[in-house]
Amino acid sequence: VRWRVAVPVLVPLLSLALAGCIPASPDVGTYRAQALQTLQTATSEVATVQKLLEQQQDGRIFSPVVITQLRYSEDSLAKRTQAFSALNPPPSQDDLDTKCTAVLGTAQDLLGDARVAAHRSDLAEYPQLLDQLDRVSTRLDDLERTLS
Amino acid sequence: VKSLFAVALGILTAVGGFVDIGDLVTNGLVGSRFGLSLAWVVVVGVVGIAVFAEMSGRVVAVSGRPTFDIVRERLGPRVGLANLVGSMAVSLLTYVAEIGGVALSLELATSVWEYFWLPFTAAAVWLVLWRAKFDIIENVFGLLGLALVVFAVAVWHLGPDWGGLFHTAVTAAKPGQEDITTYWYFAIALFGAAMTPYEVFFFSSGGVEEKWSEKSIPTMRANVLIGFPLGGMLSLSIAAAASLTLQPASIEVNTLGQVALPVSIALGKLGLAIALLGFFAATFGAACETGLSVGYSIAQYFGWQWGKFVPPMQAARFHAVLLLSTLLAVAILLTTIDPVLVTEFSVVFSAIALPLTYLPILIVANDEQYMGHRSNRWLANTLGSIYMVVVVVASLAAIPLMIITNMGTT
Repeated sequence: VRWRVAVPVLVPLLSLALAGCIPASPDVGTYRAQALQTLQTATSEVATVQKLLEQQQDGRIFSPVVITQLRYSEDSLAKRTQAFSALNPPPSQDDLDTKCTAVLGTAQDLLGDARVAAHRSDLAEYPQLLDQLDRVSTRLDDLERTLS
Repeated sequence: VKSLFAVALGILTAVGGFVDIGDLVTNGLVGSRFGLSLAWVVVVGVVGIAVFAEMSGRVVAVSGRPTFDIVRERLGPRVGLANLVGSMAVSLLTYVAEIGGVALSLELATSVWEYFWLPFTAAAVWLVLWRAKFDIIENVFGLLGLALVVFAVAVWHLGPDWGGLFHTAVTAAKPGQEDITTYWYFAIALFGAAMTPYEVFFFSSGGVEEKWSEKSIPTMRANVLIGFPLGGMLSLSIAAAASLTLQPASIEVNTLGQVALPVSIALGKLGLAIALLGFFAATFGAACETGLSVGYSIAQYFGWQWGKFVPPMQAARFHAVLLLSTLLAVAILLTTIDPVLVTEFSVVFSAIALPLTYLPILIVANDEQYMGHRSNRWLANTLGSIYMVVVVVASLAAIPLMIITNMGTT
């Protein structure tokens, strides 16, 4: 009798637990919504880093604040990108997947470069980094616009 | 002159002590996403906390006993227990968030990892709770918290279109790209941040610590009716600064560093240094207040000796609760949970627990047996009743909205 009661409770719970271990295969709408959220996170973190570098270039911000926030921005983008990359894109969204993966990868690399430059207080690198961040920001905006 | 100084000091500490990690993060986040379109919630929240803080302060001044001691006696142990569990759980969660907030402030100032700071922060908070006098805790951190006025200066220095800001605040127009459910989710989070239960616990128990009598009622009212609204202005200036600098750049606030960024943009290093001092004071002061609130609530429910007005040896169980809750808080944070996430949970769960905290206050403040001629009059009862409807609605809507919006991320 106990098993008769337990099975209907345990089976859905076990299924849910297993579902959490398997990469999700969302429908087109959900996949595009996830892509949009990931791009928005990337836009926010790239813009944050742009502001930080501009402020540091002008001597208006303390180095520890820049280094700490860069760490958080990099972590936040990496986590969001990783969660998005774990999704199985629907076949019709392969093109979107390729574009997102490319621009998110570039953004991640740039945030890593910004961290290194900030740690070294390499202000000479900042103009080039800001220029690259500006370009990736435009790409993110363009891709977001196609999704919203 | 002495009484004027006491009133002024009370008001200033009420202003400086109003903002905590919940207000910092929630107002920064809301400002960066919704501009000032949710400013009305801060106003509603400040009026609400002022209404109930005045009631609980009056109860203490008349009876000489903390509100929740009377709640248990007047409404019985079962209602008292529901009140204790709901309010204390939220206070404990807020305590975790505040200690995390202190560590984040130190990390921001030094770039040394927050987890390094956690044990030192917890030890410092516990040491202050154990050794420092009540008025030192209240006044020092309250006054230092005034450093957050730098956000108002930053807004003024940014030279905004005041008409446009005022228009957004008055029309409460949701930004087009945001979902209506997300708008209401953040409205409840802001409301919970403004009306956190620990504020009333601390305020009423603090009245006993400071030996309020009926003569203290005018001073208490000045603190509540002037200090809290001015504290609310600080919250609004954090949101306004974020809306002016971060929203146009599509930056969504998720960290304390992003909350500080508008001050750096407006005022440079000096402003930023003051903001960091304000973060530290606000979170450390609130950590002491929430820690004490956890101790107050448990000790008052079980009828133990409590408070800073007696030596620790005479209130050993109260101090044991303070120590254990501090150890629990640091243990939770050392699991590497994000303190900002804990903060987001704490403000939403505050909203859920609001009826459990505020309904008993309304009942006790109406009881002539305790209050005599100082029981609630029509204005306090009308406002109290309206707010009970608001807090019940917010409490019921909080969890469904949290699930639907995935904690505001949709």
